[in-house]
Amino acid sequence: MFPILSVTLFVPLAGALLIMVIPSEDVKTIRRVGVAFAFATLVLAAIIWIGVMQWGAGEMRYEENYPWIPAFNIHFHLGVDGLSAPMVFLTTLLTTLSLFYSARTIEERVKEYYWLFLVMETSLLGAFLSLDLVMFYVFWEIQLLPMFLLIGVWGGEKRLYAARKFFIYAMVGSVVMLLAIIGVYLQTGTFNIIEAAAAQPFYGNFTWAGIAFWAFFVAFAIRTPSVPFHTWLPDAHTEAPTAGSVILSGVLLQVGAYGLIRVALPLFPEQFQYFVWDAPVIPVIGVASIVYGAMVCMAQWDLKRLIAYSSVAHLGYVTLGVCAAAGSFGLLDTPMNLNAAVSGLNGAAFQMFSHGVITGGLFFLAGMLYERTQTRDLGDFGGLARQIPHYYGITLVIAFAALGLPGLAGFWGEFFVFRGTVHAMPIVAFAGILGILFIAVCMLWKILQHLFLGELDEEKWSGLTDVAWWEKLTLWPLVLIIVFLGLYPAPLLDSFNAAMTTLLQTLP
Amino acid sequence: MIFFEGSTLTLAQTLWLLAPEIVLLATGLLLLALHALRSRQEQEQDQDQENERWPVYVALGGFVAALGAAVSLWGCNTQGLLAAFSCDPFALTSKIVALGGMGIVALMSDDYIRARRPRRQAEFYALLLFCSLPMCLMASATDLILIFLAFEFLNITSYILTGYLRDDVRSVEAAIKYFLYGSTLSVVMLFGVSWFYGLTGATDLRTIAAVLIDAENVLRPTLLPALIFVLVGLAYRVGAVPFHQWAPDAYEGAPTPVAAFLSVGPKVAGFTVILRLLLTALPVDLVLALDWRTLLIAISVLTMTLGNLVALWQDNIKRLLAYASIAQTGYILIGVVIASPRGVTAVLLYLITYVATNLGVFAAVIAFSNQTGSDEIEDYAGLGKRAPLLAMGLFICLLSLVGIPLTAGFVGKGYLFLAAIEEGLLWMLVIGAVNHVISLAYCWKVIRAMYLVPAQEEEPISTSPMLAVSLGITVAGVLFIGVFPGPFIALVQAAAPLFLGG
Amino acid sequence: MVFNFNLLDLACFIPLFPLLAFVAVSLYAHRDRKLSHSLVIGGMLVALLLAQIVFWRAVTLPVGGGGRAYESVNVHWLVAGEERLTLGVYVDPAAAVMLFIVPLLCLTIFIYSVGYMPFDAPQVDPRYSRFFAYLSLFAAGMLGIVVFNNLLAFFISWEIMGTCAYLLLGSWREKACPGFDEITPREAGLKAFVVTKIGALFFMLGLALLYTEVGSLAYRDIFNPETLKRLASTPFLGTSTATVIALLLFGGAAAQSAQFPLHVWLPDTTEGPTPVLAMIHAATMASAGAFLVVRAYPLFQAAEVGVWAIGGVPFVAFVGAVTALGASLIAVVQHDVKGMFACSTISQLGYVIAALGIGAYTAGVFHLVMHAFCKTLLFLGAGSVIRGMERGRQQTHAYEFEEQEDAEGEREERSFDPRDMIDMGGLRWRMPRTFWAFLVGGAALSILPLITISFWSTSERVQGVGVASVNVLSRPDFWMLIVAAGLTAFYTARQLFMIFAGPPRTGAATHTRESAPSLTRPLVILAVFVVCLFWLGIPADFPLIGGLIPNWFHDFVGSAIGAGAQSTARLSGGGIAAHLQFPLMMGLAFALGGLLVGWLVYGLKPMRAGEMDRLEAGMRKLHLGWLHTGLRKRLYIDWVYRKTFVDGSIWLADALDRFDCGREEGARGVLDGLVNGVGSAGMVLSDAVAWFDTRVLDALVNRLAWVFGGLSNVAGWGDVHMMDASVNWMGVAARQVSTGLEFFDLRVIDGVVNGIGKTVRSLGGWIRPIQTGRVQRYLLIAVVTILALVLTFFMILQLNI
Repeated sequence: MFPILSVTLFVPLAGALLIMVIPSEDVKTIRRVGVAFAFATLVLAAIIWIGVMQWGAGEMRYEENYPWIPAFNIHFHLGVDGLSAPMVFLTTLLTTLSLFYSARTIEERVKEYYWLFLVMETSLLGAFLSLDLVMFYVFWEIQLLPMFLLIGVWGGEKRLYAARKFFIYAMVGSVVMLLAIIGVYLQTGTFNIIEAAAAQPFYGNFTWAGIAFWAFFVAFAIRTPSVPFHTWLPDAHTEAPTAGSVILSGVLLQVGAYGLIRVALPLFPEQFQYFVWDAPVIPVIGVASIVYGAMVCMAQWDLKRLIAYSSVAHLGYVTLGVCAAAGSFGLLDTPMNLNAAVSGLNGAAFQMFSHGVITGGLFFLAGMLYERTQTRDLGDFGGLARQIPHYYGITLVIAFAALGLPGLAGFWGEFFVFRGTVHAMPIVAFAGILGILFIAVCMLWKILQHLFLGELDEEKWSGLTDVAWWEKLTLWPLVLIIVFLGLYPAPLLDSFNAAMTTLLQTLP
Repeated sequence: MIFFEGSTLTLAQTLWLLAPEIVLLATGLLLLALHALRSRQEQEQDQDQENERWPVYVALGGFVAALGAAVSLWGCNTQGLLAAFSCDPFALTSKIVALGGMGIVALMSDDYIRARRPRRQAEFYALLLFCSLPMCLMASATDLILIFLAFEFLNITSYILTGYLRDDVRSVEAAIKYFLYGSTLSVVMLFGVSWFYGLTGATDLRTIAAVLIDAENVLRPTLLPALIFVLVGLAYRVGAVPFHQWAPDAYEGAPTPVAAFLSVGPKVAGFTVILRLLLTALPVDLVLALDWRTLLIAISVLTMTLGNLVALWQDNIKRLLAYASIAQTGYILIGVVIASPRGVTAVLLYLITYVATNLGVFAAVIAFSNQTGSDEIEDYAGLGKRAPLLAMGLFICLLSLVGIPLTAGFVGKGYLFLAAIEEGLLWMLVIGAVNHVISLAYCWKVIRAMYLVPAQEEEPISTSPMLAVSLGITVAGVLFIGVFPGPFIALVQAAAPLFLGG
Repeated sequence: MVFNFNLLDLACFIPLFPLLAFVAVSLYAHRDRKLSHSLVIGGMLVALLLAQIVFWRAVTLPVGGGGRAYESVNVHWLVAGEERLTLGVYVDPAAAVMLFIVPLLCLTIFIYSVGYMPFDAPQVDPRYSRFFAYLSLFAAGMLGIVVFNNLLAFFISWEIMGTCAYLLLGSWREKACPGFDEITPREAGLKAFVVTKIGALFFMLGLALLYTEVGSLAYRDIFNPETLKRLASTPFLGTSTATVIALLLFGGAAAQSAQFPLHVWLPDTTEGPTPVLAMIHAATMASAGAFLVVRAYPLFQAAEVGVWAIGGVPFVAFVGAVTALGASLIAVVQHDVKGMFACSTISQLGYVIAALGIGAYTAGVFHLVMHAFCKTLLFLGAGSVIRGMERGRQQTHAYEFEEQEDAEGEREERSFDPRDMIDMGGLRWRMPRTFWAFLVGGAALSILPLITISFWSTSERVQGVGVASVNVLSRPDFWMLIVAAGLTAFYTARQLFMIFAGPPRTGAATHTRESAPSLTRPLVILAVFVVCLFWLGIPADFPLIGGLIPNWFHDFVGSAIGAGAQSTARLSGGGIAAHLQFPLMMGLAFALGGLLVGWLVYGLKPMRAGEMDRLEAGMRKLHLGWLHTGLRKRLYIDWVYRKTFVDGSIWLADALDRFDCGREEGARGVLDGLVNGVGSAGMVLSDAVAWFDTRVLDALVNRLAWVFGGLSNVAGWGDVHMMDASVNWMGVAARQVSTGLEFFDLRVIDGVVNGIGKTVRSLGGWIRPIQTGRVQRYLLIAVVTILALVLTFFMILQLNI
């Protein structure tokens, strides 16, 4: 069978290598090649997703499994199911758009930029595709380097500070995770995620299991990022170049959330349930991320910072959704609880995807504005609705999606998360609901009111141009996806639902 | 490859077992002789030796030959057959590693030496070979006397190499300090050896072990100082805190290739000896085994923490690397503490990865200083622009030093952590993890300078072919081990238990 | 499955066309004004036709509630685990009725706004087509609410409406212009959105809970009796699940239809243009809230009565009654035409809610429908009046207005406001058509409560404690509604007289002329409808006019909850008990009384120019001025909210932000500071260690140096043989040291010092001495350490052995 997964995984890498040999003066070719390879990957990802839906998204499809390090039966093990296929698609989509957009905006050190970006795409895809803990860890860690360089080299004024903080912070998480992974291996004798989940590492030994679980959880929480591990995010986002922020918020954070669902939940259901139910630490973290993130978001005046905090809040819903599922282990025999748990996970996954698209779009918009005006301070603007109507329209859609308006993609994640939560832990749900309100306020009050309504500063912004054709080409796919999924979420939801149902049913 | 039947060896076989050492010795002498001849010729028609490359080629030939010999010996296990000398996979592994490392050192020292002491190249390479000889001996010495002899041999040659640039005052100073320090501690070690002899009446490790096992606890109190003295000597050799202080000075003062050699050679030899001594003479199941483990744990923790923390503070890349390698020593000591086959495997694997990584870094540093004459980190600013490939190589090796996946360093560290978790040394691991992050911080210093800080001057830095080759080899090695660690793990896993099991 | 076509299936296309119009206008036609508004109107026209078809089909079929409702076109939509939720249409009497009115009203409003929104701006104003696009989407949302077959789609359409309200108000005027109560339209829009969002969040939680409990949100699943029974019986949060869900849903409804205490957003919307108000208040948004209660009526029925009854009055009814009373009180004192209507909307919807709360399903629906008609009519009429006033104003002074209505910037005291009824008067002759329309609307508005109240007499089953046979006089909600009815009549009369009666009180009023037909025609249409429809809902036993025509409305709509048969049965059963006639009489008395008072105060002797509002004057005479101002300020509820919730949350946000990352440049917040602190602690530690490594150890060694030096001399002179091992060792070590020292003094020190000096001078950059540069110290450190090690291990042994 045609190894489509490894091909998809290595096409960007091939592109990167190709770009490395192109002379750095030939910028045009470099850009063309970069976009071409990214787009090819996108096509492959689409094929994979369709195929997965065809074959049934419940089990792993297109599996590839070659021994890598036989001494520890570490395998080069790829597979894709209803959960990972959409994330792969999201990754390739955002990368393609980012590279396409950067072709017009990145001027210095284009060559390095492009091949770094493609390397990053490979590593991101690897994290979503790998079914082997070591591979997952490897890709997880490799992702940091290109992003670190993207921030550090192409970033803003405080880029050094931001890059170092990001890198070291993330590294703390991953080294802890490494130890946990090794522990799991020594317990179960396998690095295979599925088998390890089946073997239930440290089963019965609560202390060790707890330690291992928290090692994983902290790593994922740092990446996700959950309060109080989130402080690297605003700086990184503020300093990163536009496309960098897009990928960072659109995909890099999702890897953490993905790990939460794919690794932490199946491997340590007992502990997860304990810390959701008996000692509700994780729900508190989730709700804290939502409400705290949203409130801090409300206080921001820097557009990018604001979006960064809003994504802290958004990813809080992911945590919450996983909690909803984890809280109901052992009760899954009744269809009601099972469906609730499944829709909690569906919500989490849907939130991951939609957040990727929405926040990606928001960061694109912020970047476009910044490149025109060289300022991100919301106080400087006003009344732009007349000046740049097209930009205004697109921002309307995406901002409303970001505040979870029903009928747009952002809604389903939150709704299903609450559906999973409200019966199992009503208090949490009631608390979490506040986040939506605050996000709504800051999207409308901060972004829409301050940017587009009110007095237009004529002599300042009269020269402001509306979105150019390539920017439209970058934004419209996102807008279309947002609207389509908002009205008809079935394609994505079916995919997630199948995967999540099997996930929960296979749990002990 | 030879197979041994029976329990005795013919002379030929014995000599063949010593082949690597013999080759090294021969080549060294050959170099000196040639040098003498050539120099006489010159005095007759005085042509300068500026661009003479033959010494390095000869030396490389010697290393390759020795390496070949060692490889050809692979698989034989003569434990107990020969007095004082054992040729087992364990020894051979460390020999191969050491010889490979030294070969690369020779490769990368070419330009450096020719630029500084053109007329004395041959001596330099001869000394390199004479350095490698005791390493090989230490690798397979099973007798305290032989161990000490090799140890001292290594010391002396290293002193000389350190002071090789005799008109550079830093070099001389470093050499003298190194000499004073080293000689003192080797005397301490010798003292310990004498205690051992006095206590057990034997110098052969296995006999010592036997005696100790018979005389259960009686010898214990008196044995301890002896153990400590010996360990102190070895600790100095591998540069473990608090016997590390010679290292930074020596590194900074010595010619950079020598620094590279110091950072790998003695470590490899020293650790092989430590393992052999501890695990053969003082098996873990002895009552007092516990003591040396606690002692080593203390030293290890101290070493990695101090090494990393102080490295964080350095502005000179050679000093930074000195402290970094001290920290690495701390890591490797974890493996020693584990003292199980897996621990030994971890140590060997870590040594392999460490040698590749460190030599890579040094190759880049040499290349840089050859061009700019500077070792200060801030001078690395903009290297990413000025010499992309060089910077990339250094970048990869630094990542490997930290232990980022897909580089050799990750394999070594990962295996080490795995072994340690298996052994249940959790709190040590926590410290290890913390240090991991700290090490990230100081590598970040260099990376930041290379890529994120704009260059002061723009003109590109060219790398000489020899250095390029050595850098290429090491980087390739680093990446290869990182991506396909399978064969190496298999190799060391084959090597480790054999000498434990006996 | 075989899909057999039914006319009712057309329902699924009804929201589609306005939606398409919206898309077309916003994407394509936004450059062309004519094209855009004709697209929107065309879309709505198609929707209207389809709606009519569906309505008549539904009536003739006839569809009923519950099982007899028509449902079809099920598209696979949502999944959760095993269960599926499909999207389709659902037509029951309530939906049919709404389908009858909503497109009609929307269409009239659209046509009206074409004439009303002049936009004589020099350049093509993008807001014009934007305005119509939003209107179209607004209508699509409302229609979606009506036709879809599950609560989730209901919710989505609902939120779309909220958004459109925000957009229409918010992006309405770029310029910040303080209106009556210093709130700019966009603030009003934000306020509307946020307040309704709060409700929507309750709604959403309710939906989530319901979805979890039932496993579906389709009406046929959630409203079938077994499910409702189960919900009512399963305990949750101390009460039954049904109750919790009902309360949450009601939270949504209360916010959307501006019930106390979430009513604050509605009055401010009057800052927006009049057609928008007609949409929000009458045709769509606010009505949608009440319609939610209509939809979820079975659920409310299933909810536990005892828990949420206040003073024997069901919670819902109580909220409705309170709102009705309070809002009508506030309405009484308003001077602003639209402001007054806003308050009246609130109070009328209060009636609807109250009626539904006490189980008067049909009365509630009827009130809802009729109110929609009357209020649209009145708002459009008010718009026409305002236009007239503006035109009159323009004629009096050559005063250049800005493009929109009610658009003057700063207003000094008694500056002209075309919405202020004090400035009007005598328009009856100048704007006849508007006057008649107004009159019809006003009359209907003042009669409406009466009909609802009459419910007490017409229905057997008053929900709450006891039944109707229990004396209604003991019910607070009854009294509240009665009083409110009186007030309604009064303020309607007051308004009519103030606007139309007597002589004009300002020049503007003098010069007003009738508005253009594009404005007045919709008024006429609506007026006709109001007059005709009224008869349909008159209770059969209404005095005089009752029973002239069979109460078709009651039968049809009532059939939705299976209450249809009763009225007819009771009619055949002849007249009803006298004590049930009483409430009706009471209501009648109050209503007529209200009208009468209104006439006495304002009609008998019309107000003169410059005269103070008589009500205000009267209250001042009675020393009730404070009450008057309080009512004018809407009982300060908005003010309290602003001071507490708004400012509070903003303050909290800032505080958290400071805690998190710090506000101004450089200053790190606590949390971030903490994180960085760890890092910097590491750096400090490393400094410390390095310092220790190089300095402290040396200092220590300096102290020890001479000791060891002395020892070494001793050892050097002493006799080696006589010493024991340890001393011997000491000797060895020390001798090494001494040799080191000697050698050092001779060679190195000078050499090094000079060397260092030289190199510093020569190499320049090479500044810091290598560590400390004194090797003998290293040696001493080593020796000390060895000593320490030995000692410690001997101690360990002592402990062990």
